[in-house]
Formats: sequence, structure tokens, C-alpha cells
Amino acid sequence: MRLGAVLTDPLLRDVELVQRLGFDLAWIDAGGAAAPLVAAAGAATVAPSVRLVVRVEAGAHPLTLAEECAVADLASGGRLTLTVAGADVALLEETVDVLQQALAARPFSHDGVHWRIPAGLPEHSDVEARIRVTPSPAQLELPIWVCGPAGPAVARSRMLPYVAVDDERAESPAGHWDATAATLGAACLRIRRPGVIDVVADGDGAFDRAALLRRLVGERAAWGMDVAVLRLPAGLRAQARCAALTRIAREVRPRLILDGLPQGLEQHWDAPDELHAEWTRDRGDR
Amino acid sequence: MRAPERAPAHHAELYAQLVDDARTAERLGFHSLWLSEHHNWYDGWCPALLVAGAAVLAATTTLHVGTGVLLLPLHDPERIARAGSTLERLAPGRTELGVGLGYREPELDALGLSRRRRGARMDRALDVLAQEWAGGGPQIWIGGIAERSLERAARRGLSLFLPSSMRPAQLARVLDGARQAAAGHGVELGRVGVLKQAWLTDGSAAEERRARSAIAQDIGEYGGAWWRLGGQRGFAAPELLGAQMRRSASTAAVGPAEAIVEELAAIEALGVDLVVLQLADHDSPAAYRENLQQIAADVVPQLA
Repeated sequence: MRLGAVLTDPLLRDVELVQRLGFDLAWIDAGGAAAPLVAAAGAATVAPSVRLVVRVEAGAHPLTLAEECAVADLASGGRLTLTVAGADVALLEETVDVLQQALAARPFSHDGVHWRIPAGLPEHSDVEARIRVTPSPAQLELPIWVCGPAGPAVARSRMLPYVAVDDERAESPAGHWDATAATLGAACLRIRRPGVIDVVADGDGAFDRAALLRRLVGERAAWGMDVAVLRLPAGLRAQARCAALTRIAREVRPRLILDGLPQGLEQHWDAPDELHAEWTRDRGDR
Repeated sequence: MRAPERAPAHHAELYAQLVDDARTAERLGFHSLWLSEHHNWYDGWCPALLVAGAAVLAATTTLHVGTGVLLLPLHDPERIARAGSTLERLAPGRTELGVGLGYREPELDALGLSRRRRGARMDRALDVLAQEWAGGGPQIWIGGIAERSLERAARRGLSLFLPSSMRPAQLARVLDGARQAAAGHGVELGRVGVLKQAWLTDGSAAEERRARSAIAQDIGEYGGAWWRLGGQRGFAAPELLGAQMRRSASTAAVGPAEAIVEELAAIEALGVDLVVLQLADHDSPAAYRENLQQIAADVVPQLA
């Protein structure tokens, strides 16, 4: 399972920490920054390896979104994933349809309910029948994920990953993925299964490790979650965020990678000093 | 941020160089780095300046980032307001928002925006930005020399960002007019910035010819493809286009250090407090950097 962290600090100061701790991705949304794609380009400079998942709301002009995505993807050397949230199925569908065409590096036109591209306004004499959005993103296929109440329906109709976000799950992720698998069969294997999971933590960033692990392993078993983006409570101080993220990296991540661990390994991790002391005692007089 | 026909490049490489160049410019003592916007063009001209600007601001500590210019009517002003606020939070006081109307019909038409309504959209957008940034935000510069642009800046007491191809006499006239207009509205005009195509040469005639020719070629390319000259596309009006190319080449600050210093000092004497140099003939990043360094060493100290 890949692990990510939601950047809750408005200045995104944690992005470097998140990368250093080995998280696979940083999630940037309007909770963290008013203009998440702009913030992502700044984060990309500070943290040169971590993947950046940016969440935007459907409704903005998809050509503008596509252009901003292309520039953010280029500025990050191809590390962008776009998540589009929406409550209205038709709006979310049209948004991702235009995005897909705009990012596909060929001229296109689009005639939809919300947008006609290009518009071909009669007062314009110098217009084109199709437009090409430039520059192209660095990635050949810029990942587009969907979430929000309209997410599952659009994910199924457009074969996209649906992000099950903890406080906005419209339907059970298991039901969604069963329906997707029923339609797609083995083709479903190429679609990532991300989730945003709330970490229950106190003001110092302390959390119940066993409970979090049960939660993550449970979601993986129930619907195949393969990307878990962990979200700390909003408003934690920097020190508490750092403590929680560090503990997730040190204690949660190693326990999630394999299906199970050999007997004794967890005890070894939890009490390295005792084992070490025992070992040196056993070596006798040296 | 372009990969034109004469200079193939990978765009990811261009954006990486942008960040490197920004660090270099900051180290050399430059005030700001400016980016310009166009859309749907074959060379990948940057369409999202504030996204690119964030990468630059995150890589630097004192350098300002300017948009010269952002085509404000093509954008949702609320989104620009949020983007500007995000930059302001990430790098307080280091964003200069130069705005222009845009004129290319394909860019407007792609978004379903009427060319005739550009001015009204600009005014509404400026109202939104003024409101959203009432507690602090990027400084706004109005680009262009059209009567209405100057009036817009004067009425609101905003700064001016003027194009490269003006001669000092014209520049003086424009500035006088704008200052008087502002006074008429009972406000003071903001700052004045001028874009200037430039290239520092070794003083040889051959080098100067090469640099001016590169500037003319560049203007010839997009002027020919985009501008309407005498009611026709630029390329269909070669004489008018040629005149524009010559004008751009002849008004550029090209020459040895003394010549550039003299030209910039004349601009400064008119009350211009920011000159944005657009280094011509920089198809090779190495040549661009070398020229930037030479300008920092030989030109800037003589102006201070």
C-alpha cells in the first residue's frame, strides 16, 4: 500500500518532512492552500521526489485547469496527480472529459452542456475549429482521480480511480469496487484504489497505532485500498504534526507493506534496546 | 518558457532552468523575474503564470516574480485572487501582478469570451482583486499603452507596465498623460515599469546586427501569425510587418555596456523605476546566462 499525507498546514511547510519520511505522496487541497495547483508548484520545488496529489472542485473552466495542471506537472518533473471533486455527475463528467482531451496532446473540440470549445463566437473572425492545449504535461497520462458525492458514478462511467474520502463517502467503497469489477473484469486491475483516511489523534499528535493499523488493513481487505492518504486533525501545531507523521513513517508504514510479519519482528522493532542489551550480555566479557 | 521552431527544448527542462535562472538572478542582485502568458500556441508558451511563479518563489528568498503580463480577462478573477493570496502567503510581498487585455481571438474564443467584452471583464476583475486583496496582496501593474489602459491605471492609482517598443519621447508623453489623468482623479499613479528587449554585445557591429536580427525575427514570427495589420494577418502584409520588426529591433537596448547604460539612464530619468530586460537571442541557455551575468557585472552597477 502506498502512503500519503494530507498537508494541513496552509504554508505546506510539511511537504519536505513528508518526503524525507518516505511518504509516497503529498495531498494538497483547498484546506491547505486557497489555490492548490499554485501551491503544488511551490511544494514541488521544495520537495523534489514526492508525488503531489492536488484536489480541485469541478466548476472551474476545464481548459484553465488543464493548463495549470500541465505547468504544475512540468514544474514538478511529472509528479502531479489531479483529483477532481464534484457533487453533480454531469458537471464532473464534462470536466474530466474536457481535461482528458485537453491533456491528450492533440487538437480537439468539445460541445457540452457547460462548455462549447472553441466557442466559435460570430464576432470573432480569426477562430479555429479545434484547439490544442499547450504545453503538454510531462507525464504521458496525467492521472485523474475523482471524489465527492458524484465521484463513484463518474469513476464507473469514465474508468477512473475513485478516492474514498473519510467524511464524504457517498456509498460504500466496497460496493463501488464490486460494481466496477463486475463491469470491467480484469481490466479493473489497472485502476488505483485510493482513500483519504482520518487519523484520530490528540493535540500532541498521539494516536492509537493498533487502531490505525486495523483500520488500514481492514480497508485494504474490504475493497483493495492501495493508496492511503492519511489526514491528521486540522489545527495541530507543527510539533504535533511532525511527531504524528514521524510515528506513522516509523511504526505504521513498515507494518503495512507485507501481508504479515514473522513472529518476533514487531517486538524487535518495539524494544530494540532490550534485545541489544541482551545480545551484548550474552557475548560475555567483551 | 517556449520551445519555438528555432530552439527545440523539453518543457520540463525549461521549467527546471527557470528555477535555476531565478536563483542565479537573485544571486546577481536582480529585483525580479517576469513571465508572460499566451495560450494554445505550438511553442508551449506558458499559459499559467502564477503556477510557474510559485515554483520560482519557493526556490528563492528575496527575488520578486512578475507577470508581464497575465491576460486577466481570460481568467476567473476569483481564482486569480486565490492564486495571488496563495503566493502572498508562501512568499509575502514578492509577487508583482502585471495584467493585460489579451487580443488573440483564438485564445478568447477557446474560452467562449467575446473580444468586445475584454475591457468590461478587466474592470470587473480589477474590482474583485481590489476587494479580495484589500488586506494585502500582490501589487497590480496595468500593461499596454492604449488610452483606456492608461486611464484604467490612472483612475485606480495602479502601476503601469509599458511595452518595449517605445522611444523615450513617446514614453515621456505617455507618462505625462497618465500622471495628469491620475491627478484629475485625485489619486497618485503607482510605479512605472518598462519592458525592454536587450542584449549586451561585445561592441562589434556583427554581434549587434545578430542580436537585433534575432529580435526582429521573434516579433516577425508572432506578429506575422497573430497580429492584424491593415486588416490582414501579419504575414499577408509583409511591408507593415517589416516595419514592426524594424521598430522592435531598433528600439531594443542592444550594444556594449556604455550604450545600454545610456539608454536605461534615459528611461530612468523619466521617472521609470523598474526596467524589465527581455534578453533577446537566448536560444542557448548558456548564452542567456552569460549575458545575464555580464549585465549584472557591467551595466547594473553603473545605474545604481
